[in-house]
Amino acid sequence: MTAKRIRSQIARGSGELAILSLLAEQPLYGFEIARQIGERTGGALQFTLASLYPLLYEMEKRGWVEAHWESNDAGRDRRYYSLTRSGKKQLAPLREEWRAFFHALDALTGVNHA
Amino acid sequence: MPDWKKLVEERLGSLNLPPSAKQETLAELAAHLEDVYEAAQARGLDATASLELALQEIQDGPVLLANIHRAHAEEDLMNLRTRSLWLPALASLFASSLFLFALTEISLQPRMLVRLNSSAAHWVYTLWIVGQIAFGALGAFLSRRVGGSRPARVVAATFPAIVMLASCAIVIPVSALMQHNDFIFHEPGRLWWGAFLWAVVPAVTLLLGATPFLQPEPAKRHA
Repeated sequence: MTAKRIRSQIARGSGELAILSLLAEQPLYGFEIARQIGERTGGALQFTLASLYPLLYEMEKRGWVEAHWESNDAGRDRRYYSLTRSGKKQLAPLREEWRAFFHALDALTGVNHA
Repeated sequence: MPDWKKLVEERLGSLNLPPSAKQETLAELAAHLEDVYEAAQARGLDATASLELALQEIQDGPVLLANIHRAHAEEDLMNLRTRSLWLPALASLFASSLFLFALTEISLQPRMLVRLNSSAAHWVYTLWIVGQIAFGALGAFLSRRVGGSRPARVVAATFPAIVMLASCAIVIPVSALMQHNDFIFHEPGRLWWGAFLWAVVPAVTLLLGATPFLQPEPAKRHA
């Protein structure tokens, strides 16, 4: 597996976890998802339109999220995403996977203690 | 305010998705750019800088296009083909065959035979042909409802006639060959006449029924 492929899969996996975690709190539309992820991670995770929507569409295809059009606070129609039952089931194992991943990385590199 | 939908369409180029999914995707991406633009203005940027910032989100159109296509890939397209072509086609074929079966059964009732006399077969045929209008409409309607393309709607609507044509062109000659029955080879005109009556005429009436559903579906509510 190439380094680029690994990076891409890490980005995708972290993106999925970030989106599922946010949507577990409340339904949100694309721009709000990107804005809140940027804001709550202090800018460490940034989504652009190009990186966000293909991921949302894949998650929708897998049945993890579902979308519907609704007016936002400004009275404009936006496509809101919410977690499905299947998406909720994905969240716990994904969190566990990432926790294990960081533990493993920590054991190997000691990045948490650097 | 820029026309965001037009901008997205220009940057993406050819978005090869079912019509309803395409419109929904364009509307959603346009809404995102609008939000980026307005958030930039709210932070004090002028219109030009805000527009530039919004367009940066979609600067690599071909990559975004490829990623959107990949996200909707194979499984979706296969589902779409099943839902927009095969299921409506089979529904149309099933309804058409069931109708023919029912008509044949009714015409065999003694009282019907008395009433219809020797022209019972003509009545059965004529009624069946008229019924094709409804079955053509059914196939095209079911296909359009799930975003089927116009060719898919035409095929779904005329599927009973396609099956009949395949039967006349392949099944009957092959079975005649296998049974060493050379009647249709000596009198091919009968086969052609049969194909005309049971495939071409139904195809026309099926299409007639499908016509109202070959127009694009009214647009859904988008941003």
